[in-house]
Order: sequence, then C-alpha cells, then structure tokens
Amino acid sequence: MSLWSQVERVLRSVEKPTRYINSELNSVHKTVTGEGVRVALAYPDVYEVGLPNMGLQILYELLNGREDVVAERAYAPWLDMEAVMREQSIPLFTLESHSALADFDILGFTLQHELIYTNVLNMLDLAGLPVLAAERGDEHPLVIAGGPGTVNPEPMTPFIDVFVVGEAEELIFELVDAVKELKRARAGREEVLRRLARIPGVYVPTLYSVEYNDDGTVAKIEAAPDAPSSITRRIVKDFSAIPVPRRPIVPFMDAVHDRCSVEVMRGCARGCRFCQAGMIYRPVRERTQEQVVSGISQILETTGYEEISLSSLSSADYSAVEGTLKELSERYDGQNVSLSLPSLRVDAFSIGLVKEIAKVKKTGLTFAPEAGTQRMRDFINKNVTEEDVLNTVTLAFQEGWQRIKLYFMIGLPTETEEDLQGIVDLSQKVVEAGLATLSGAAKSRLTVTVSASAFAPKPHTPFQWVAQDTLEEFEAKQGYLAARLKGRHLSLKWHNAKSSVVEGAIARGDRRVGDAIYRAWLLGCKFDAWTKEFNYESWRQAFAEAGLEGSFYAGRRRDFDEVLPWSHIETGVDAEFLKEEFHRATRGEKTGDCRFDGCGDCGVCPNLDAENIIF
Amino acid sequence: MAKLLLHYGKDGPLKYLSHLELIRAFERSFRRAGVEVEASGGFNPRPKISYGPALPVGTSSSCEYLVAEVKSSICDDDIIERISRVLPKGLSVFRAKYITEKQPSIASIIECVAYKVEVKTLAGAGELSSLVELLRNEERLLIKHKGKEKWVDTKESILDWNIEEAGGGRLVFLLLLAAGERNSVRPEVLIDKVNQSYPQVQDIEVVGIERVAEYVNRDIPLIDIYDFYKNVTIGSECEKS
Ligand code: SF4
Repeated sequence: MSLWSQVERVLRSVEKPTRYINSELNSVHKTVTGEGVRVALAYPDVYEVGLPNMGLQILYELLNGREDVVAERAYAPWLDMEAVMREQSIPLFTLESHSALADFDILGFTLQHELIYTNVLNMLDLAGLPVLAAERGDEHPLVIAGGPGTVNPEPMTPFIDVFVVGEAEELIFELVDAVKELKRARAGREEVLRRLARIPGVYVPTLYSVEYNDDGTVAKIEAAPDAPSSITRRIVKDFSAIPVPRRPIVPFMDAVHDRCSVEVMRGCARGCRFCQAGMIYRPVRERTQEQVVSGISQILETTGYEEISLSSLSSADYSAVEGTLKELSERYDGQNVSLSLPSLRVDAFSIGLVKEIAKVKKTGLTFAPEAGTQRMRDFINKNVTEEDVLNTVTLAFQEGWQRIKLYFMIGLPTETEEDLQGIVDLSQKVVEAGLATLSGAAKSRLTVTVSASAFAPKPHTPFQWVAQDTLEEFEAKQGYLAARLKGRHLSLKWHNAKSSVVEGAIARGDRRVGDAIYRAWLLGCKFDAWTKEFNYESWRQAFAEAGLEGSFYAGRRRDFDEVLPWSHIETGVDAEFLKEEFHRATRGEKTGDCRFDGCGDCGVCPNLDAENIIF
Repeated sequence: MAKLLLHYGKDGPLKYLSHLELIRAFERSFRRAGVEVEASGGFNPRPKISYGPALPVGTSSSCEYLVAEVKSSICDDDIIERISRVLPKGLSVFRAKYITEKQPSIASIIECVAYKVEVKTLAGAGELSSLVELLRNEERLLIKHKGKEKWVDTKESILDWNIEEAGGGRLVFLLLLAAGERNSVRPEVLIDKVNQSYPQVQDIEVVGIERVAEYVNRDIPLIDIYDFYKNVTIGSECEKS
C-alpha cells in the first residue's frame, strides 16, 4: 500500500522535499506477483549521500533486471522528516512505491563505514521493526547487510540476520533464489537462516558462538555443526565479464557525487599498510578500455550527465587510463562534458593526465603523501619521496594550478614529533615551491590546504594489531600542527578526532560492542558521520552502560596470537602475510606492487582462485 | 542557432522539485534527447536556457515556459516527441515553436497568473464566496509572507475569482492574481488571509495548488504568453529525426 498521500501531506513542512519523492530518471517502478521477491535496498544516510553509492546502484539494476524481483530504495530521513514521521506515525518507506519497509521480503543495508551504524538501527525502528534480530519473527523481512563493514561484522550482529561478505554481483542471485524458494515453502526463520548459511560468502551470526577469556579477549569462535567454520569473501573473478551498469539513477537534487561514474577496475595492489580497501578488494581486476568507453557512452545516453569520472581505488594506476581519457576527450570534445579522475598519484604522469582533461578549468588538485617523513612513508609502504611531492607540485604550478590540497594522517603507529614536524616542513616546502613557480596575481592566490585525519587502524590490515592514539594524543598532535602550520598560503583542516576514536573502537569491536551501538542509539546517536550531529558524550556513556571500554578495542596493542573477533571472516589475505607486513614495516622495508614487482604472497590469488587481470 | 519556446507542465511528485533542480532536469533531458543547446562562454559554460518565474515548491503547473537557444533546427513537432520521450515522469511538454530573435524574457512580461487552489473546508461555496467578496471590498490588504509584510491594492491584485464545488467536502478556488512588480500576491498567501480574517472558517486546508495560465496583460481580452511570442517558420530546412 502506498504511503504517498500521508508522506505528501508532511512534505510542505520539511526541508528539501525532493529527498522523499520518486520518479528519478532510471528509477524502476514495477510490481511483482505474490511469488516474486521484494527487496528494499537501504542506505543508512540521507538521500544525497546515499544515492551515488555504487554498490547499491549495481544491485538495484541487477535485481530489477529480473522479472520475478522488484528492488526499491530507502534512505535515512533527515532529522526534520524523522520528527514529523514519528509524530504522525508514518513508517519508513521506499521511494519507488512509497511502501512500508516492513512489507518487503528482504531489507538490505549497506555498511559503508562505522559511523553510519546507528542509522541502521534508527531506520529499522522507523520501519516499525524490532531493532534486535532476536526479537524479529517470521512475519518480518529478512534483514541483510553488505559493504566493507562486513569484513568485521561482529559489532552489527545483534541487528542483522545475514551478512553478505564481498562483491555481491553473483551472490545476490543465489540469495534471492533461495529466499524465493523458501518463501514458497513457507519456511520459518530458523530454516531460512540455516539454508542461506550454505551460500558461500553468507554469514549468519546466530550460527556462531563466541567465547571470551577472562581478560576480555576472544577465546574462540565456534560454528554450528552445519555452518562453515569460516566465511570467505566472494569476488567476481573476471570483472571485465560484468557489464557496466547502464542505467544509474539520476537524482533531481544535488547529490554528493552527481555524475557518470564508471568503475575501471576493482582492487589495488600498491599495498599501503594502513589501507583497508587496498587489502580487502584484491586482486586487481581491470575492465577493458573498450568496455569503459562504450559503458560511458551508454550511460550518457540514458542519463544526460555532463561529467564523467573514472572510478576505482587508484584510477591513475588503471593500465589503459591514458588511452581511455584520450579517447573520451576526443569523443566528447565541444559537447561540454567534463572529465575527472578522482584519485591522483604523486607523479608527473598524473599531472599529464589531468592537464589533458582539465583544459580550461584548473580547480584544485589533491595529493596524498599520507606522512611527513620518509621513515614514516616507508613504514606505511607509501612509495613516495619528498622529491616526488615537490617535483609534482612544481609541475602542477607550472601548468597553472594554484590550489593544492595535501592529505596526511596523524596517529600512524610509531609516530614521533619528528614525523609531525615532517608534515609541517613538507607543507611549507610546497608553499615555497608555489611561490617560486607562480608569478604575479597567481602567486597571491596560492593556497595549500593541509588535511590531517586521525588514523583508525582497521581489521584485515597489517596494522590491525596496533593501538590507536588516544583522544588526548590526537588533540595534542592537532595542537602541534595548528601552532606551526600557519601562514598566508596555508590552511589546515582536520576531521574530528573524537569521531575517529569511536570509529576505531567499533571497527575492531567484537559482538559485545553491538550493545554499545544499541545504547548509543537509545541515547539519541544518529548521523554520527555528520560533525554537527556527532555526540561524543553519548557514545562514552553508551560504552560505559554496556560495561565496555572503547580503549580496549581501539587503544590496546594486541598480541599477534590473539584471536581477533573477525578471524572467521576470510578476505583471502592471509593473517601471516599481514603479520609479515607489520614486521617489514618495523624494519623499514618496502613491499612492491604485485602487478609489476612479482607476487608478494598475500594469499588472495590462491585462496580465492583468482589472479590480477590487467589488459 | 534558433530560439525554441517550450510550453511544459510539472505535476505529481515532481512538483516538489526546486527551481534549480528543475533546471538541471531539463538540461539533462535536452542532452538525452540529443538536442544541442548553445552554451555561455567563460570558465563554467552553462546551457543557454531561460525560464519563467520560479514555481513555488509544491505547486503543480500546466503553464510553464522556457526558451532554449538550440544549435540546429529540429522540426517543432519532432522536438516535442524527442524531449517527451526522455523526460522524467511528471514533466511533460505540450507545445513548442521557434520564435524570433529579439524578444523580452518570459519573466519580464508576465502580468497575471491564473491558479486553481483545491481546499478542504467545512464551509460551503456560498459562504466562502461572500467572505471573499468582503475581503475584496477592502481597499488595501496587508499580506504577510515569510516574515515580510506588504500592502497591496485589493482590486489590482485579485483580478478575478470564483469558487466551485469539487465534491467530497472540497472546493476549488479559481483565482486570477497579479504577477510581476506591482501588487503581486501568491495564492496560498491569499487563502491564509481568508483564514486569518475570518476565524470562523479557520479550517480551510489547502490540498493542492496548480498554476493554469500566464498572461502578458491584466485586461480583457487576456493574451496568453505562448500566443504573445511571434513564431518564425523554420520551414523546409528543419531536420526530421
Ligand atoms: S597473491 Fe600475489 S599477485 Fe595475488 S594479490 Fe596477493 S600479492 Fe598480488
């Protein structure tokens, strides 16, 4: 039943009503018969943030491609809308048919990062569903979750019935088929869960029990007799066999990314040791240039987009990047279509690329040296030297850019004052390079923005055992930088260290952290990724009420032998490799890129029966 | 280059699009339709499309207009078909014609606008009619909108009005209101005014507002904006797709 008339009645009283309407171009409005499966894909943030999410859009198109399935979307209503919905008892709805989420067979959430977890709880509640999985019954939708957060699903296990670990392009059909069959057989919840657990890549937390040691660490994680002892991440082995999604939904409102974005490859093999994405999406699998270009041309036809972006973890590393950009800029010359490359390497090659695509508009360029000293860059395996940075920015200044953004992290393991000073020195050298290169009015417009984010170690990385800095340490470091990064051409930006500390505790949390998330939500936490909405005090209280210390999860150096709460989730990267990478870091040894420098034995290729695919 | 006048409407959920969102939706629709629009110069080239006055969010309309400077002259009936095919549901194109070069902008020539306002109320059409007449007999009206106040000359701003029964406890106000610089007033503000002035019928709830016509003058005979613009025939050289 459509809730539209109820929704419409309150739309005049909320900000940005476009968030709650439907009919966006390429959205699918259809119905299925009783036998069919109805899926609601939910992104736990507000519409304009959630809409561009690539994973959700891929699933939407795939699922709606089937006649017996309908997939609709739901986003978190903004605070003003939530207030009127609660007041008028309007349950959370999907956009396409404005149906209550409770009327769907499957409700799927994207766990993009830790600071949207409370929104998942809030959306379940707004949907009129019990927030705790244990309290849901046969009459409720199956609540599933996917996305990078599933590599440590434990903190979300109290709320989610089924986790889908890894890339879902193939898995989703196995899941939907199983649900369809079980629906026809009127299977009970328990049977459904047991059956789904047989699908590779599916994790059903109720089939696993966790025991703890006296010191609070995990003693063991045990699977029920008919459940697999570990869950291996699913991947699409040949990414080029997957067609580029043709019909991305075009939002009416201004979304955070509002452009034609095509994934040119999956995975990154550079091996930065702090980077979770670089570890959990291996191996590198490219699409062909032909596929990318024809995909883009089809998307432009179905969307009318005026901007194209080649997306991936490191698009300058895509082996056909030069040819692709060239072909695109020739093809769309004179049609007012702009090209962008979201991730730039610190080298002349990247400058050459952006120079090609940014013929007129020279807006800012962002580079990520990540750390201020060579020692630290070697430690994190970021193979960039100070010389690389200075040569690259000088070239950028020569080409006419005047605004440079430098991205650093603070709180990396083994960091000393020298490393912080390194950030200051390097930033100042970039300013000097700008002043020496630019002339006249351009010189006065020179701006170097330094962004210093507070590092949170993540599961399945070589730094998964290290202690995160405490809030006090982070704040002292921020103070150090703030006192020194001053000057007419410099500006300093950082993310709230308080939210990094909470993020860090959830990221490496175990099942019990679910209780803290639950209490945080009860205390009113939601939209934690929004600086204005984030409430550190409530989170502290939530951890305390749950009888937990955030620092136990984030600020503790873990023993290499400790059973990690996520040890039953196999990303394909061996724990031994991660340990070895940590030791290499301590010894100041670099690890090459396995695409060019030979296999580094991370385990992914043999474990997942896959390989790097470069064209 | 040719100037294309498009008569379109906005309806259903899409009435909640803001003016900026509507502009973007049209720009992308032109691209999808393969109708090339001239761009302004400069660092940030924008398609040369001009629009009529912004429609308030939540108001539907069957009388919106835009003028686009298109690169090639696609036959006008063809252009309707091409654009209609790619428009999101809720936007529709009714008429299109090529107009002469030098013409005043849409926004600058509209003098009055006709609205249909559907309301829910316990009062009958007759009772409300007499109340509106009372209001109309006042020489000036103090209009409050978004924290601002202004005086308008009643007869100059409410040019004509009528109330019809729509069934189900609903009434439809047909209003002809002044637009532009002088004495302009918005329909919902006027309904509010009735509510404020006569507390005994305070239960007038606006259900929907629709803009139904825009005119370039305020006297009989009213001249519809579409007819005001002189068309040019692109004749035999227009491109059929
Ligand atoms: S197994 Fe070797 S080739 Fe494959 S991703 Fe790991 S390091 Fe690279």
